[in-house]
Amino acid sequence: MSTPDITRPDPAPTGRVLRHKLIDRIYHWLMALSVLILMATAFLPILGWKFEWLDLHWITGVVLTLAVLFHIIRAVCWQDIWAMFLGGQDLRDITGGGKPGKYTPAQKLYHLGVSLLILAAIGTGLLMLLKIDTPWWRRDPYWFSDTQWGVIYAIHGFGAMALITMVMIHIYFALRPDEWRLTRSMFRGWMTSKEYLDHHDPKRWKAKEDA
Amino acid sequence: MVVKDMMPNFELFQPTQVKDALAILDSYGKDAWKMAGGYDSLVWFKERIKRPKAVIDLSGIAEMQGIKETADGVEIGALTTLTDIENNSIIKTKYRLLADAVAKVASPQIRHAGTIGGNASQDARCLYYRYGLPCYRAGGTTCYADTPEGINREHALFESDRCVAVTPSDGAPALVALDAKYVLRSSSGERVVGSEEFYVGPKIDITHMTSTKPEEILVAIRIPNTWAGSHFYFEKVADRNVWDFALVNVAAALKVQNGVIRESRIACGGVSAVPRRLTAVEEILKGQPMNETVAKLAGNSATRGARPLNYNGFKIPLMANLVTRAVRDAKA
Amino acid sequence: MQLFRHANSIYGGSDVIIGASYDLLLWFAAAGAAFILMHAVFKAVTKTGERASH
Repeated sequence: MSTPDITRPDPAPTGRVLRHKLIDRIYHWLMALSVLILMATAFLPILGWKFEWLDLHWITGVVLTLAVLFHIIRAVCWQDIWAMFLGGQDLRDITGGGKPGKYTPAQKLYHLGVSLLILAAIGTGLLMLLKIDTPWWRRDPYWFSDTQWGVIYAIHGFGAMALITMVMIHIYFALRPDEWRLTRSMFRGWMTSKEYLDHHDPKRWKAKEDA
Repeated sequence: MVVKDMMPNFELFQPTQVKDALAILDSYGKDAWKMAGGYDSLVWFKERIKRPKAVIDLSGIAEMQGIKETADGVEIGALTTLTDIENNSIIKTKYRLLADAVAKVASPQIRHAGTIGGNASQDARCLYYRYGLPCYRAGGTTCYADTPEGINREHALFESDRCVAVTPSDGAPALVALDAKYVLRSSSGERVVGSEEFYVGPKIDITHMTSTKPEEILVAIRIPNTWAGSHFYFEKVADRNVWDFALVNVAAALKVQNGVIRESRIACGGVSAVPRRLTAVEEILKGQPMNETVAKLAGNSATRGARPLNYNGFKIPLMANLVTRAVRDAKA
Repeated sequence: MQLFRHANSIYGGSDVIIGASYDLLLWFAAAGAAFILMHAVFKAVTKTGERASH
């Protein structure tokens, strides 16, 4: 069966373009939920709301780690990983105002920032698991010296606090009316052909029609 | 590491009314330190581990002193000394458990100045924490006691979470057994909380032993009539008989009719960060005869779920025996 | 405002870092709020400019 040509000049207004597969949407929302839980369990007790936060925090951290691992493997093996990397063309888009491919340079920059922060928080968070009792091991703080632990905690703290800024910005853009098409597509998976042609360069993002 | 020759400077306030003390608390926030009898506070200051900018000496507040009978029970001002409680006729006749417990605190000199509010809110005695190390309880990121080589003979059997320090108070388990309520006042009002809410473990707040907020003062402790005149038992085991903190203590209140235990409230100190109420034991005891067999069953049940550290395994039989004796030997 | 939380090292009198200072929490939140505010104002102004030019 041939795929209809949705890059034609006059697309049908009801035509749909697949932007995010179900599996990717599930990943996105699982990650979003995990990050929000991690932030709440980390910062609310500091702000004075006392509750039993630790178990929920580390278990959610492990869930986020597994989700990120899945995402990396999927992006490397089954997706176009380069679609999310900044390149020379993105710089030309910024200065020249050309239409982007699937992601805008700003989105790629944001993704890069969030990726680094989350990887820093996850990496240090996994090391910090050595200091608590889990079903798999008793804690042992002697893996690192005081100074090394200090650096690990500082990276975890800075990464987590910087995520506050990033999450605020992310939610802001998701709620902006001029970005609703992207937010909607993260729920429904698709955007209209018109939105696709208005906002993206079909040569750089060869989208498929949503089934 | 820690300079112990003299105290660092601080502003000293000596208010005579609660509202003045609260106003000072509000203006200094977390930099203020509330001091009652001063036995714990002054050591912290002298060792330069706690360095508040302002110390509010509450001892001059008359409103927070004394014991008065109310329609529901008895209200004890938080600044009432342990000696006054030990010798008070109402406490001795109706709530002997508390009199017995405070009589075991430290030494006569300390009981003359030490207050029930200070005793009930006592900070942990973990030697690493007291030495000024950056442990979890001190706001740091490590427990030095629960490590392969940590000295943890006096530490927790239950409910530890990163920090394994225990409540050292003798008065607190008795107050828990008597179902005491704690009156916490701030400039925005007053709240009255039960023991379950007043005492907090490390899972909820690793740097504090109680839920008293920085802007609040514990002004009084109310003991309801519910357990007045019950069968009581208090016992403390420490390395020496005076001027020492409990390795384990037990406080029990039992309502006994014709040799049958109708209801009970039992709490142990020295086994977790909060006085550990033995609710499972209390359930077991309901409707049971007060005898050796039931007492032994209670003792064995009390230690279920205990997770000893490297050097505190001895606390398990100690706790079991104390609970056994409490159930067997409680007297009206 | 401090960047780090410090404590005495168990092995001596020296100061060691034990983590990032929680004082920074509000600053990170403020940075997010400032970005959002600036972006919203910028978008509103440029939109008004576009309408006027039409």
